[in-house]
Amino acid sequence: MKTTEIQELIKFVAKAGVSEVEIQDKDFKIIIKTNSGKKSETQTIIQATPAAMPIQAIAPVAQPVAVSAPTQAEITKPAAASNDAKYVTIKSPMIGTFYRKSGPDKPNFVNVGDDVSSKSVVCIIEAMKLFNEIEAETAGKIVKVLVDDGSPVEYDQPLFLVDPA
Amino acid sequence: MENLILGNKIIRLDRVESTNSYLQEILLKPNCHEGLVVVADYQTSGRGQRGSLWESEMGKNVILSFWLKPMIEIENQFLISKVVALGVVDFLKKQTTHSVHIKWPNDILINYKKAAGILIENTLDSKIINGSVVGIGLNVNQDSFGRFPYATSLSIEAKKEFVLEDILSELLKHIEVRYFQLKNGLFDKINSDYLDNLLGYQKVLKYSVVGVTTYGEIAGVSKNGKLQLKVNSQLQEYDLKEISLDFNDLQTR
Repeated sequence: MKTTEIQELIKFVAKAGVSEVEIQDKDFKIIIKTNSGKKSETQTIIQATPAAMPIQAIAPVAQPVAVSAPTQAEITKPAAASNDAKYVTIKSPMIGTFYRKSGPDKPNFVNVGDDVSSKSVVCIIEAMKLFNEIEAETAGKIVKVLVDDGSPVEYDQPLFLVDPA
Repeated sequence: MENLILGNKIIRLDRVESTNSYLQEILLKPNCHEGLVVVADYQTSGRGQRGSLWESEMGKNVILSFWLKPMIEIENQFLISKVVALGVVDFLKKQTTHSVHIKWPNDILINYKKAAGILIENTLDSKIINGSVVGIGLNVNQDSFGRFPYATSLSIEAKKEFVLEDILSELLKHIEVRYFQLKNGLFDKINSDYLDNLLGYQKVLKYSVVGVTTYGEIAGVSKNGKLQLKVNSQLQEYDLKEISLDFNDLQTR
């Protein structure tokens, strides 16, 4: 991917209002994160992966924010079932509503690719006006966010996958 | 102040974004003890229920947050909400002859209008609640609520002005008594006192259930805080987002 293409992509993501986009091709992976509504704070993480890496099966990621159809086709991530086994799952300790940020105008506690310590707050589960900060309890890197912001969650429902450090 | 823990140290602020957020931030530093209180004359973005704002005139009301370490299991979390609400109710009943109720889950009404709101933010260590930041906004001397017809203050209902400092210390005293009931495991007493003070308990009131007018009486509150409403002798459980009390109808009863 050319630098100009990447720049265009960043601009597009910022405009689309999505919070996170991850694209993987056979020789590169790009993750673009935006702080919702703040276009100026777009950050980009580009990871080069070995060219010899096998092409993994791709599956569309459910996006909470509506984006146009052609873009959705581009938003893909590996659905590597065999890889998931080594990951640690952060589960909901209670029934409630899952929130990824402390307020509507605040950034997410964590995003895919973020390093967390066992004490890092990863989300809030709210029930009847009681807000519970959930900690990672495992040090590592967030590899997957399994629930959309604002969704109801059940007891023991998986919320995040963490690649343990 | 002769409280054992609550309010042994009080941080006073002229204005702050939110006392809960401020307290959460300073708790990251060492040497913070259970019972630490933050009070503010004014909050620039006080939080009510998620997303909604708590508005208060400067210097007229009691806006505070305090830190507790309940060390109870997450499945008992609603008890924290109950003891704080009961502490506020106990205190208000000594200040006014009007009715004082808890509106599920934890708003406090004087004379069927909202006088106080509570917002609780917990931190967990595995499945134990090891920290609770409890925020309370109590309308004390504010005499008008403009676009909120179902809001009131202690001063409006008791027809006199109050000294905020006295209110603060008395309020904390009453909450501490209830908090010790929680620490001592008096769960049955807390649960039954909560129901005794709950508006609509075993009384038919008008609600809106997902937009549909419904008459029902509260039969109880589930362990995780859901409202159990008896509608046409059928028991239903509701989440906060699904049901709202009809305040307009309430005033006519």
